[in-house]
Amino acid sequence: MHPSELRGWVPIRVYWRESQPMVDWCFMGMRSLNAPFFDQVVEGCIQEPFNLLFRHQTPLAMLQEVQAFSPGLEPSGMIFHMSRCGSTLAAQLLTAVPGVGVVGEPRVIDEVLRLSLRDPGITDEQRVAWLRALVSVLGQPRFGQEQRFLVKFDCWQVLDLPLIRRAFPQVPWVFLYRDPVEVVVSQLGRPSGRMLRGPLEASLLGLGGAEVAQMSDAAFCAHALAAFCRVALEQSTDSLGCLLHYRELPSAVWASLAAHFAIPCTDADVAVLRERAQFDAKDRSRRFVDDSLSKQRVATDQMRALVDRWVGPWYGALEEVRVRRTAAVVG
Amino acid sequence: MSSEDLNAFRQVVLGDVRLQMELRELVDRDAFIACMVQLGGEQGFMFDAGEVEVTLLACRQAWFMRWIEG
Repeated sequence: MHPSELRGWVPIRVYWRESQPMVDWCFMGMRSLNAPFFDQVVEGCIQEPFNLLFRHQTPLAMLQEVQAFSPGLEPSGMIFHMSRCGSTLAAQLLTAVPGVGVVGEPRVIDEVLRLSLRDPGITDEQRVAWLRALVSVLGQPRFGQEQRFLVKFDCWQVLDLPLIRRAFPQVPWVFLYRDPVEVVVSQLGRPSGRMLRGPLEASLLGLGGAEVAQMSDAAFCAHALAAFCRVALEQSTDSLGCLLHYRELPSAVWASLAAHFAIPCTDADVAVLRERAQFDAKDRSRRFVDDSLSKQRVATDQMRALVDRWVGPWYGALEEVRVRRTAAVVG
Repeated sequence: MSSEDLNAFRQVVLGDVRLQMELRELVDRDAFIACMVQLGGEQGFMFDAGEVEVTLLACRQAWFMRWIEG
């Protein structure tokens, strides 16, 4: 198969066929990938009968062949986050700037990163190469006007930040976070599938399966948030990394984040972003409501104790760095 | 066997951009199935609408099951 035959096709899944990793491609043509979550776009496509019956299935190496044949945009920025902290808002606002595209937490990226779990013989170098190829394919201009491309990663993928930065060493990134008590309240009130306590998640946190199974939901969430914060802090040693607190949103998107990603933002663009920021990023039919106070009110003493014990030190350190950097810019 | 003809036609379509373009435009399920039978017949493959319907259902179920199979 020649890479040119995959023009308009997008990788939606990486899976194992016996001992070989394979890519499942879906035709998306001119469909925009700018939805809050890439998998929403995929689910929409799969509803069409053509996409149910006709999908190319290729070896993983085809990603690199397509990358070589028709390279996509290099990412302008990478968005990492601790969940429930405005990352979707930030990404969606930036797509309101003409020429900016985003892929939101594509599960296929997770599948590439986790290939070594199925085959320990897969090296970090291979994962870096495949990740670069996958992002290149996802970043292919499809309308002709795309100039910049952002990748918003799933919250767990901040744990892969060292490897991801090896794949994209010159790409600026941001870690979005908020008071972890509010995230724990949010996750317990409306659990996301990504906070399920499976063996994968336990291994990513360096914890035993039995240990995790005995934890409360709040404790598991606190451990996860602590790990996210720790890795983000450890990686925040140069100017490529930016720390952004939820309370700085939405104005920080046009005031600083756009510039961090080298996205030019005119006064007209800012006006559009201000308007969009009034609405829920995941459902634009609803007005945005800052729920920090309500979450603080419902947080239990147990939640606060768990956060203080596991996340507090890392969150505090992130805040020190962020505030110090902000002061340096203002000063 | 009509199922073999349908699967063979699917492989032909995956290699033929013109056939892909014609089928992609049909988001209505019934129109898509009718076009599949017509185009398949023109290419010498004999299968009916029921076979296409069954295959669509199987593909949908396979998509739902993908996370379990890994």
